[in-house]
Amino acid sequence: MTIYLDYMATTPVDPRVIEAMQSCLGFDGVFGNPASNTHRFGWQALEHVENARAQVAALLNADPREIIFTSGATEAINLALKGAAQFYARQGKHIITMRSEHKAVLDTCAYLSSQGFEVTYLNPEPNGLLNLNALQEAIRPDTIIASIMHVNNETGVIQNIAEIGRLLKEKGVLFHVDAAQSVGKLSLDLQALPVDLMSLSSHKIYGPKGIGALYVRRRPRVQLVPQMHGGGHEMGYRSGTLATHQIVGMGAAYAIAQSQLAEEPQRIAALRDRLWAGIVNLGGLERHGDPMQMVCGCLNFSVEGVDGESLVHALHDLAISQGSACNSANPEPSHVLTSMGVSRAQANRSLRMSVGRFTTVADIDLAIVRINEQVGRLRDLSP
Amino acid sequence: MQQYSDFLLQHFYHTSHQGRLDTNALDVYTATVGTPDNQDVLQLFVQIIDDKIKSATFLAKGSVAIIAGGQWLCDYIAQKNVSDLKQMTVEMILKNLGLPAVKVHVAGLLVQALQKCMDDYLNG
Repeated sequence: MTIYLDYMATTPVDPRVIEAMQSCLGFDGVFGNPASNTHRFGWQALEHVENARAQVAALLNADPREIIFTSGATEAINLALKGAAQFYARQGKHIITMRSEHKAVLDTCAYLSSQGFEVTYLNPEPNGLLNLNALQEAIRPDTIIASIMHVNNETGVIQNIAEIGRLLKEKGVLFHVDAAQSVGKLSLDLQALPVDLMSLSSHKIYGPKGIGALYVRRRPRVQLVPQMHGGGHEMGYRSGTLATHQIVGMGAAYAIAQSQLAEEPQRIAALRDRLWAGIVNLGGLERHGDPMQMVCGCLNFSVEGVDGESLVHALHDLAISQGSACNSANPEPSHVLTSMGVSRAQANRSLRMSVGRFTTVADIDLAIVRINEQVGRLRDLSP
Repeated sequence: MQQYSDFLLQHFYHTSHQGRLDTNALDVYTATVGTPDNQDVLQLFVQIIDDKIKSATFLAKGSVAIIAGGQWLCDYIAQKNVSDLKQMTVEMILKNLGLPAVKVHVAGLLVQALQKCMDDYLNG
């Protein structure tokens, strides 16, 4: 049996979410098109969509009218960056982000570069955090938007988005936050946080894949050029028939996360800390990312004296990651780690393990045994 | 992450030939080979008596391919004659071990290590 330790990649759908989704599929369920406003099938579907929208908004203390459903966080990021860049292009064409961002941000910024925008890529500090002085120096009169992720998907490092947002707001720069890895793990209050756009995932917090959302601030109003045309759904921001079952699933996942926000992150952090405590005595292990600014379930570390690929294969009964799932087909070392100043060789020896809602103490203890055993074996094999 | 065949992975998981031979013994020959960046390093030990490989062990650091390759090589050469093994080529190893294209260099390292041990034996 394989132990799943890759919750940062994706999570299994919570059984309570599955139940909510299943009620929106069959003929006896809520299968109607939410845009069908002439009969009860449509009205019922719309009601379910709006309930889910409110559930998503509630976790963020946002207005439901600020939540735009998309096909996932990647699409939300595309809508945020392309939509804002295109709308505000007359005010400027400079964008700021970090080299350690998710590929969804980096590749979108690369596309915008090809369209005449100029992008400044800031390096994180060795601990993964953004240097606020460097951000301040990067801001120009023609800077229109900055995109900084709240929690890094590879290292788990938590950026200080309150301070970053305050600085950007002073300078009149829009602030987009990729919150795919932070929602449901950290408290988010968009009435208090100076964030203009926030990309949200479902499948990172036990909701279904294929659905996400973009938070778009109403006050002050943020404008975007839509990227999907065809009917004007989602207040014109994102056309396309709404997938009621997906949206209900995301809403249910967010509602469950809110109900467990007081205790679940601490429980998950304790499991992660147990894992680290059980392996650190191997010696030659180095954690990546500021451990004081670290999301609850993530553990990214390098192992001296063994090849990372060999260790992952040796630990074949643990589902873990070398780098991120989105990049796992690419043999290059992690761009996140190398942007933090980690050498290519060390990045190649690095692993990401992440625990979550369904991880047990028994899972952790077995993983500890395996890791100690296999690191020992590979080190003994070395000339 | 690189995908490997089940055959190759079995040689990675079960390294029965892992270890050293006593290099002070007159009939033991050793060779250490590696990539220029030392990402893959192999140390081969062979005991050769009367032209025959009596035993072979290895140590390896690096990829799945180099570890599996060391194990496979020791398995393959055990009890074979040096005169037969002098014909070993990179192509033979690629065909037998099923290395992926990006790990072709491992076959070269295995041949290099074996050739050095056999050359040392033949040169007395």
